[in-house]
Amino acid sequence: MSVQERGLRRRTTPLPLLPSEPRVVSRREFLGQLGAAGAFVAVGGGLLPRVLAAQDLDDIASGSLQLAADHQWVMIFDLRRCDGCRDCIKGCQEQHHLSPDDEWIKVYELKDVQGKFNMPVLCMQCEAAPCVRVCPSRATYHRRDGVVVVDQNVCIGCRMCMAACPYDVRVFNWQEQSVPEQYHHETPEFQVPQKRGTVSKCTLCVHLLEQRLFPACLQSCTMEAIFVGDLVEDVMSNGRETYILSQYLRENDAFRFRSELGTRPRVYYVAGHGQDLEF
Amino acid sequence: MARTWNSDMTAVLPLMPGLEEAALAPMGRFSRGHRASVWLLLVLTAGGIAAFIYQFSTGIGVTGMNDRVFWGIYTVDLVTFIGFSYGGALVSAILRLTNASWRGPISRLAEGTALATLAVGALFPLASDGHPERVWRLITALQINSPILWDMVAIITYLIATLVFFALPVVADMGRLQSADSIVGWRRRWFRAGAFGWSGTAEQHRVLHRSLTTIAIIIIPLAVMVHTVLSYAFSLTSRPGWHSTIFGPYFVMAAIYSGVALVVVVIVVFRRVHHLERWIPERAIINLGYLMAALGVLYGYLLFTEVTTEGYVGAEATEKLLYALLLDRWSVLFWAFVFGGLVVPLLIVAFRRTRTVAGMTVAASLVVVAFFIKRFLMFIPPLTEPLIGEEVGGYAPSWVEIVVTVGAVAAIPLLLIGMFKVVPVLAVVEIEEISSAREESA
Amino acid sequence: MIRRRGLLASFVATVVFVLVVALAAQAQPPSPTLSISLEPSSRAELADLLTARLTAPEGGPISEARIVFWIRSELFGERYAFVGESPTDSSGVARLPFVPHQDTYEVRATFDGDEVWGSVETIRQIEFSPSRVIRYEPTDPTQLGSLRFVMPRIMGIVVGLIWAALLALAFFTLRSIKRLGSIPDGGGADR
Repeated sequence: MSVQERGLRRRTTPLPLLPSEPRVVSRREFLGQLGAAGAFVAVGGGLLPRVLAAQDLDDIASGSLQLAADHQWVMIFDLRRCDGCRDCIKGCQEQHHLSPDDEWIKVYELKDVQGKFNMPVLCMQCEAAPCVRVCPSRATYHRRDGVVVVDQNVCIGCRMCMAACPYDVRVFNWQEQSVPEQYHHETPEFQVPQKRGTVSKCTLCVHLLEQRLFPACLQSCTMEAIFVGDLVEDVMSNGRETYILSQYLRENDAFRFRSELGTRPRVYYVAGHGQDLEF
Repeated sequence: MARTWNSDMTAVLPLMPGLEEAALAPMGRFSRGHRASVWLLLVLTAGGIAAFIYQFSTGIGVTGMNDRVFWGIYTVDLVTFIGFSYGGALVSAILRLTNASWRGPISRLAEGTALATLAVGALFPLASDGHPERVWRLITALQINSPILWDMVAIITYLIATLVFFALPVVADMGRLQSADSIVGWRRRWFRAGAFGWSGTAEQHRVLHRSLTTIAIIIIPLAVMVHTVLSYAFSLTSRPGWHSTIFGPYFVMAAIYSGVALVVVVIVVFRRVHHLERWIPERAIINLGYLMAALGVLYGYLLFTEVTTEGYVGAEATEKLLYALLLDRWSVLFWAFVFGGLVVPLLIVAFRRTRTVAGMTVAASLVVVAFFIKRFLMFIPPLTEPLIGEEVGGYAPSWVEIVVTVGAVAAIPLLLIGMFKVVPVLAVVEIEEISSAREESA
Repeated sequence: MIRRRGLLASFVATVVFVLVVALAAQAQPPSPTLSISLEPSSRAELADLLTARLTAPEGGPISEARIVFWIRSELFGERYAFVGESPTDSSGVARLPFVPHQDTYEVRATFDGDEVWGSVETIRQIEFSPSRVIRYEPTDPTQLGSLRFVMPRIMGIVVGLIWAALLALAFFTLRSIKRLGSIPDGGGADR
């Protein structure tokens, strides 16, 4: 088994699909416990190969991580339809049991030559994610399907990822959150409640995507402005309309936010000022 | 085995009169006033530790930080204290390599300051983390692309270098002073163990001299590199105001400048408290003042280039930041730094009338305080400026952060006092070497 | 009596039925047929064309008809993704360039009907030649990817050497001091 394969296997942590399923101790956590049990074991046997080997988490930018999965998720925002109602924020907060102050998706009111427009900003799931690169504890990492998640059981709370993120989408959990026991769920993909002293962010609701359900923000968007797509199948949908992803992006002059920073974001925007709403 | 015994040993000669008493002065009993101030420092430090424990148990939410300004006073403290420490050791190394004859009495204090500030500063990542108990993951996860890991590596590297640089001359001094009259009881056992059999033979002098020179050569580029790496936690992000190639040299310069200033303050205080005027002449302090002034000019130059290159082009994000710094929200602090940290200290050094020990003390104290402000201006305003949209973030340190910071500030003199209870405050062997060399050349 | 009334009723019912059927037949325009095929492009840089031929029941081409193309996706339950629409030409053929990302697609073509012709839809599995299929490229590594990989490791080795050098220096210095100081006739400094 090559190092690369080992790295990939580590990312294919089985994801419990239903919130009621018992927690699966993943290889990540197992490694963590191992480290706690005896650091010298890690120093002797574990660390040297880790340094010398091609690191899976050295991220996609270095080319050492090949993303390979059945799906490669992207999101598309049609700004021609967004009316800035913030329903997506509410839907997201309900789904993840967030406190009202924590917004994993933010809606900014921006201006350009044609006037004001609403700009929803969430985690861009960057392929060359600055947050993944800087995380000293490997708490934040790429899943094989390109989604960047945070393992709050190993996050040390240094907030370096917040400094590195050019989109300001990461949220730190300053306070303890209380959520009724029956909603608790513990995976990097779907963490409820958010753990104090760690960083949270949008996970593209990958726990829902894997059940072939749409992300919470998309479901709650009454304007049907949010789409989720798959680069492998080249299809995108907002639940009602379904388009060919590449074709839609091309024909509607889609752009990516601050892609000049080299982050290779996986969220696309179709420029607009809510004109679809005026008939 | 080739054992050589040179009869021409400094060890058998009597110590220079008064040197022994001076070098061991901090080990004696303190006066009532000094004891009171030590108690005050102890209380403040204990308060800082208690506040940190409170923060650890209740969560980092008790600080004033928020999602926008996610790094606060703790980061300022971290960089400021570690900056101080770089200055201390660098001064000692530069003076040794240039063979400055006035370095003898101040090198121990400079290196001690470096150690104490480094020890305190290195604790601040723990205060700043949401889960300090998980820092072992830095080693087990070993994400070698992370600036945080490299910060840790840099601090450890520098700690090793400073410890060696500090410890080797101490070994010689312990050997030299182990039979002093005031060294009794546990101190005598400690000095004897720490002396490593130092008896002051010419060979021992030669070995020590060679090793110290080697470390002095290593430690200068090391300090530069290591402080540059500390700046990477900021400059390796894409934030306006942080993402800048000048940040490495900027950090290094700030560190040396403020470090020399702190060394001046520490030397003046110890000189005054323990009556070391005879051994630490005014000339040594004034010379340090000159060094500080030169570094201050260099720092001003870097500040000028930073503001000019960012401001002339006027990219939208940096333009807003610079406006807030120079003319708007942060302008009072910024100009307070420019005048208090650069202009006034330089003027004090420039005029003959103010070029006294008192003047140098004022100038150095101004610089030390100004660099707390400067670090604040380096880290907080770029965070309050919005990356997207118009909403400006805010930050005010909470009482917990202030108490922890005050505790850390108090811990540094406390550590120095404790340090010079167990090691001589003056580098006795070095002073003797220098004076005998001077006699020979005379 | 009853029989005659029954006869009359069945007669009326028959007439009504015939009339309704006749009317219905008149309201329902005749259904054309729609067939899907793939027209491989002659040039490598041009996309293959999805084609749909719309023909009248008697076999003649229907021109100027709007044909919509869809492909089936099971991304979130069964859906048809909109590919595009194209009018039929004089020979009744609508063409739409399509870049495949998979080997086979279930292509659906629909014609909504107009005042002359009724609506029709057809579904067909279309297989693309593997050379035409554009597969998802997982990454395009940055130019400096290999340097990004090598640099931290080199730095790590350098730092390790520095640590070793410093500690070795301290160790050997102390050892030499100890060795050179141990004098046969007792420590000089103790006197």
